[in-house]
Amino acid sequence: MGAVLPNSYVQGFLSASLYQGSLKSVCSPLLNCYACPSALFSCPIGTLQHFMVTGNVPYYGIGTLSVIGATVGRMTCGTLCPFGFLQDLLYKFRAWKVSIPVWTRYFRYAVLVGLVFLIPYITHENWFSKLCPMGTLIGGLPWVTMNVNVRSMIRALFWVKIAMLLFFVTASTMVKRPFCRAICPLGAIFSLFNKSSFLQLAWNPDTCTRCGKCQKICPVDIRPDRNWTNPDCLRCLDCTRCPSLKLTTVLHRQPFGVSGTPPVEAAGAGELSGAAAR
Amino acid sequence: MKGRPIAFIVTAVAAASILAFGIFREEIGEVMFNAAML
Repeated sequence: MGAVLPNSYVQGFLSASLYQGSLKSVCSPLLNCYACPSALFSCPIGTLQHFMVTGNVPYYGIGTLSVIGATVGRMTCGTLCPFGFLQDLLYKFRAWKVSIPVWTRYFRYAVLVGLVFLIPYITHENWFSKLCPMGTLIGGLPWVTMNVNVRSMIRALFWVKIAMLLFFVTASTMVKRPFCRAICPLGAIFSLFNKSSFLQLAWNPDTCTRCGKCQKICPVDIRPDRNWTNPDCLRCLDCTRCPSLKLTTVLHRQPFGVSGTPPVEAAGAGELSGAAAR
Repeated sequence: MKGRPIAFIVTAVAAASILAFGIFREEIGEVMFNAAML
């Protein structure tokens, strides 16, 4: 749905033109290039950069993303993002599987501050958009294929973009969602809200057996039973297939379980308390 | 979980205020123009 709905202006491909209607004033909560011929909405990261390039604070863009983040946290990354979905599909390929260290998550904050805010402000160029692999996939490649004039404008930067796209496509077959975890500035913004968003993930220490299956099915390789407000958590709800984890809201003070024991205290008693669970 | 509802309310009010200020500054038109005239 996240791939189809924001890119449903099919006429753009037929007429080799961009949609110019009022929906383009809406920032989609997804990494979806607004240069794609079929794009209906604005790219939120492109919007933030545009305001930085012109030397203004992007109140509308930050406000839109903050309202979404405050409501659902990173859920749009896990349920709607087309590039995340593509990475999930690629990881299903039979390939050598590796895990990346947790500290790589800090790169996405560096990308957000550097490539989205600081460097565009200083250089007056949208540097993240110039390098974005999603932009290359659904914006750059279709235009190069369809339009001779665009093809004639290909320079070295285009091949750098292609190389980055190929790198992330290849990496996605080996690592769970490498772009989302280490690079995505939109995910970096939404991850700031995971601890205080309206929707929350809840864990029941009374039924958890600490079997680790939640980590195996997690698209970003985390243990939701150890930290259910982890900023890396995409709120894809795959782990809620386990009866020890479920979606709840901040309004439920003790949302789940009988004891409501914090994970640090429950860690030692996990094996005992969870023995009767499944 | 005790502080979470308060943290949510503070975050939501701040987010809505920033969004409202952006709309008040008529940034929507610039967003649309930027996205449509690439």
